[in-house]
Amino acid sequence: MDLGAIWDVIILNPMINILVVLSKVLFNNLGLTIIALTIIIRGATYPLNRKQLLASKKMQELQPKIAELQKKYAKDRQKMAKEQMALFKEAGVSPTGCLLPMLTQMPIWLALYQSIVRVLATGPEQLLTLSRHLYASWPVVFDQIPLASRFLWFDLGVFDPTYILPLLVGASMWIQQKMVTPPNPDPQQQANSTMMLWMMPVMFTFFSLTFPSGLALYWVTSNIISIVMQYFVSGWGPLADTFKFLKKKGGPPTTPGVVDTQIVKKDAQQTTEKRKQSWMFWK
Amino acid sequence: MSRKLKYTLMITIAVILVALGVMGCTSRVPARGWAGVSAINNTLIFTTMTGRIYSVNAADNAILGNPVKLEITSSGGFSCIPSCGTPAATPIAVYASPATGGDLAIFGGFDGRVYAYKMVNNQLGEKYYWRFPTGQSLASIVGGVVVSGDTAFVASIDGTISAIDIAKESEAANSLSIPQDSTILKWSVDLGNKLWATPVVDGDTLYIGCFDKKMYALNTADGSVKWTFEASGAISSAPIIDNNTLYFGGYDRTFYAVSIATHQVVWKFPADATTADAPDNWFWSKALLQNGVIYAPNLDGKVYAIDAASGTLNRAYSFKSDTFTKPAVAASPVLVGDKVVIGVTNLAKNTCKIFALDAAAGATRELASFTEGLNAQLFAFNGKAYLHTTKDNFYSIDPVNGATLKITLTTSTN
Repeated sequence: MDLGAIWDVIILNPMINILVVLSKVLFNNLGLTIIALTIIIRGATYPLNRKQLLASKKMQELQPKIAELQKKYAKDRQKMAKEQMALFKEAGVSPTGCLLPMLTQMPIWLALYQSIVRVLATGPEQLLTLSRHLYASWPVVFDQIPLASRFLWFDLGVFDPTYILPLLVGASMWIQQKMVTPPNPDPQQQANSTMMLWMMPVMFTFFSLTFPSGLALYWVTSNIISIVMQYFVSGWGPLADTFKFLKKKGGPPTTPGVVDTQIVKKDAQQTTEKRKQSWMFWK
Repeated sequence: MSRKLKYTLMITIAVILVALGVMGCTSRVPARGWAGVSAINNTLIFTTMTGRIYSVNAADNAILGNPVKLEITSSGGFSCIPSCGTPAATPIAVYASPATGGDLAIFGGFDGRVYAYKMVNNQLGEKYYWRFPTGQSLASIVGGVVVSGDTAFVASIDGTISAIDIAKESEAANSLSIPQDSTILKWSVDLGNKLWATPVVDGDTLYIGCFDKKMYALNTADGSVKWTFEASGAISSAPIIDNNTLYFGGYDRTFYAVSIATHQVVWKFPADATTADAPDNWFWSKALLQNGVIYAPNLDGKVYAIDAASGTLNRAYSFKSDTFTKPAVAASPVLVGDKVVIGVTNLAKNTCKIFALDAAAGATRELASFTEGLNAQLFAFNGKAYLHTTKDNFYSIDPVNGATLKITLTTSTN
């Protein structure tokens, strides 16, 4: 069995069949099904996601200190790297801490993405291909396909001609990015951050103009979930600096400040304490 | 942000974007078509996936004249990023075999237009004789065109069936005028759900299966619905009409015999979905009726031989073997002489095998094997079966001795 076949059997086929069955439960509405499955999967991967968000948050909170180090050791890169690592160690942060959970979740996201594309089956070739992914022992999937592709004002199988959905994709992605992009005193770093802030939303808006709306719906849903999760972990963050009215609302702190620094220190102390205890145990 | 971390982030984002891009492009397979072969008199008509239609002499497989170019000029660019790059000619995908009426070959394109080419000196004219509509196109066409009298009927995937006046089209073409679409269109009716099937006309009734799980019977005069029959799954195959009965299969893995007189089920196979012989996948394409037996192809890799009178299963012919796993019968079987010729494809590996079924002996024999898939309908002509593979090659096979010939379609002006 080649890698593609293993991927199909273990990840893609279950996802496709669950998607089809879920559409039966959700009144034969593929749009609702895409939203529901995205919420379910994001919910199931929440522990990983939370780890990633916390790690990102800690990294954000260390930004002022990192900037200081960069300024201080601008001419000695080796020393700067050493001091940065020391800072990360002291704060109990791993520079790759936010990447690992994200990479772990990637196969699931990709499978969800692929399964949406597959069930949309916009052409004869795709529909014929879909037939080999269905479970013979689940009669409901055979009665259910092809799924009705109308949802709200658009057809899930083609791009949204009103451009509303692509704009929603871009806007939601920008908000999500903005929440995690702190201002940087270094102009060079700030330019990089600004580029990153706009690159993804613009690219995904462009993708939404060429791909079926079903995918755009998935992206919008996923972005909104990310925004909600991010809000509960670190508040509105730098977004509140752009939209001042968000600062007036209650809820978690909007920008990394004293409270967050204290949390980082407390976390670091706890981590050091745990390590000590663990070391004592083995001793 | 440390340089190392920044690079790691950049690489991760780049990987995600590339993955999305690649998956998007590969998942969004452009429509390529899989038109079957057709014939007018002694000229075979081959429609390729590259937007060419060849006229070939059936006697010696010689190409007659230059191929017809079936393409639209767009702003060009990457296959998944339209409106970007230099202007390019895009082939028009055709999924069904051309219908033939007199000296015309008529087919529907995935661009939403019906094209008619006229036979001149035993070959198709280089420019279309007429096309419909001349203005705003219809939705994409997947099914075939059916000609009855001076009317061509075609279904588009948005659920619309159009009746085109061939006589008026020909009149306008002969006088080199471009008619108004409204004067050519006899009627059109919207069934409200996707139509991928080829219609079948019997007398004054047009039958067509729909994705809304219904088989429709329409009045050919005005498109009004005479009656409908609702199955449990979508229908994309054309029905067989015999003995005042419609025979067709659906995505609910059930094959139906429906009385035209009473509009009720005469029988269905399997009568009980839990039986061991119950099909495992969709009835995707049209069945074949021969000597009171229906040969119903299924995507589970079997052809079900069902008694047309009673609906009992005579035999399920399986084409699965240790070396040919996960077969699917996507193409309709054809009758060549006294042999039922069946094309079986492996959708995952894109390979196919051709079998001859001797119904009297109840035996199948492998005729040929190809490292290319088969989705197009088979075509029987002059004692041979013709096939069009997914690698855009054409072959003829003699079901008696299995002699296989690849038909080379190259001219100096390709």
